[in-house]
Amino acid sequence: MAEESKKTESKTSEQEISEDVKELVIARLEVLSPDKKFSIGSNEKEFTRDELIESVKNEDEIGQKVIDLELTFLRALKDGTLLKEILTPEE
Amino acid sequence: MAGSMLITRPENDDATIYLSKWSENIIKEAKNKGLKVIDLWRNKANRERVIGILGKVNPRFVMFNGHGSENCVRGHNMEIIIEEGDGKEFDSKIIFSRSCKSAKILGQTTITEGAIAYLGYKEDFWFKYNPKKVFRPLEDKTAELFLEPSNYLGIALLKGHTTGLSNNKSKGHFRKNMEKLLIEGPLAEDYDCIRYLYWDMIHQVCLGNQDAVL
Repeated sequence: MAEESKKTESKTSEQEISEDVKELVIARLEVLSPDKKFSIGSNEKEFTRDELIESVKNEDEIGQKVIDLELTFLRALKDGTLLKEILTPEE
Repeated sequence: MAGSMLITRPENDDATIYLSKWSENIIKEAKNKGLKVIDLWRNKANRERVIGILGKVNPRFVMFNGHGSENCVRGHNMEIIIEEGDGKEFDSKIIFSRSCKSAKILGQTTITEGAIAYLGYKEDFWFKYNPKKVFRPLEDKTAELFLEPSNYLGIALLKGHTTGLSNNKSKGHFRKNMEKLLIEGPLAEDYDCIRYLYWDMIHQVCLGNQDAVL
């Protein structure tokens, strides 16, 4: 019973994190220009800012890609990798 | 520089039109260096022609533009022009594939089967562009942030740099663009592009021989 309760708690926590992440990513997308478009990977279709936001909300394949990219960038910003990369002298 | 180069330039959507137009600078550089350029443009960017030229002309440098996945690269109208299992066609060749994810599996396979080096992207290649410039992609300053550094990989190879150094020099151009946007600050029109430039840069790889030259 205690085990089950622990599992439920953990699941709720993961869902909350996921919602937090979605909100964060959407907030970061909302400041983008609505007039420009994105080419992403193997998709023939190009995407506007609002379509990316919709994809994140729906957690579809494109939405997952957007979240992955945003989290990669934020992690690099947080742990200093981004600055280190930018300051790497050219060979 | 003697020899030949094969380049594919499908044009069936905005993304491929941009890649195709931006490749014109690479073709110009190749011709300046004395290479014979076999330019498979639009509907010529098909599997039959690519496989035929790889076998008959045997170009040392091959550049693909277009959509891709972990195990294939596509040509005009999304036809698969190269896929896993075609590795032997790339024996003794240097390949630069400006297509998404193909370095992940296809690139590794081509190296195992005899290619000298495979330069490309292990994840999706992102770029942002201004739809008002779609008929003049070379004037699109937003797209230039992405396509100039990527182009420089091909240009550096043609200038005679090694495969590894060409990859690093290209990454240097991505860095310069990120630095420029950071200095311009959050009010700059394309400030948000930093995150997409960072993504493209960290996923651009050179597999195989790092010291090979064209």
